[in-house]
Amino acid sequence: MDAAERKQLFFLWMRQFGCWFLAYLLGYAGALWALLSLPPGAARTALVIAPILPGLGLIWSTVAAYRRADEFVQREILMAAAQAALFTAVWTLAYAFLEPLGLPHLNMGLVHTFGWPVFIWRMVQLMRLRG
Amino acid sequence: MKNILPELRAERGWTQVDLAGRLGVSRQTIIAIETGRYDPSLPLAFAIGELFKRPVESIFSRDKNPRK
Repeated sequence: MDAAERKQLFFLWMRQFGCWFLAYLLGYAGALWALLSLPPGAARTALVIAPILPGLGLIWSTVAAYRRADEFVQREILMAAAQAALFTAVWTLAYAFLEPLGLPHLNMGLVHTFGWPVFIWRMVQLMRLRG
Repeated sequence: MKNILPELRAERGWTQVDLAGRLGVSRQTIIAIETGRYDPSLPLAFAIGELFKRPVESIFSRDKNPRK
């Protein structure tokens, strides 16, 4: 695989990832709306569980990109995933203690949107690496 | 690790993209190696040696003041 093909695959992944992330946010908004506005039933259940699919899409596209990447990019993807996981862990740990003090109860699905921006930020940094 | 990849590349008039293509890695990997941000694996270091027809130890050497 030459550098042009790798670049093409990287941008393909960014596009795929962007589409799945947008779908996840839309699905999440739809799920919240259904939860608050619709009466219990099949439509409500379907809308509430809908974000699972784009959530899995995000993970699938990242794993596929990892498998295609070379050794340095693989290391950077792993480090980005570790930083995203650590950020999510610290945030959720802190919030678990802040919530009993009066902060609003948050849906667990929202946790998914905390780590991904950290991951995306690291990937954009990688893409813009200059030497 | 220090390396003389930029000099070897310049001697041949190759860009980072050219070298990346010849080694089958990304441009980011070449940049990271040249700037000392990343030490290549042994297979990649040997591939670099073979490409430039030089022993690996003549391209890479220990950096006494490594990047933190």
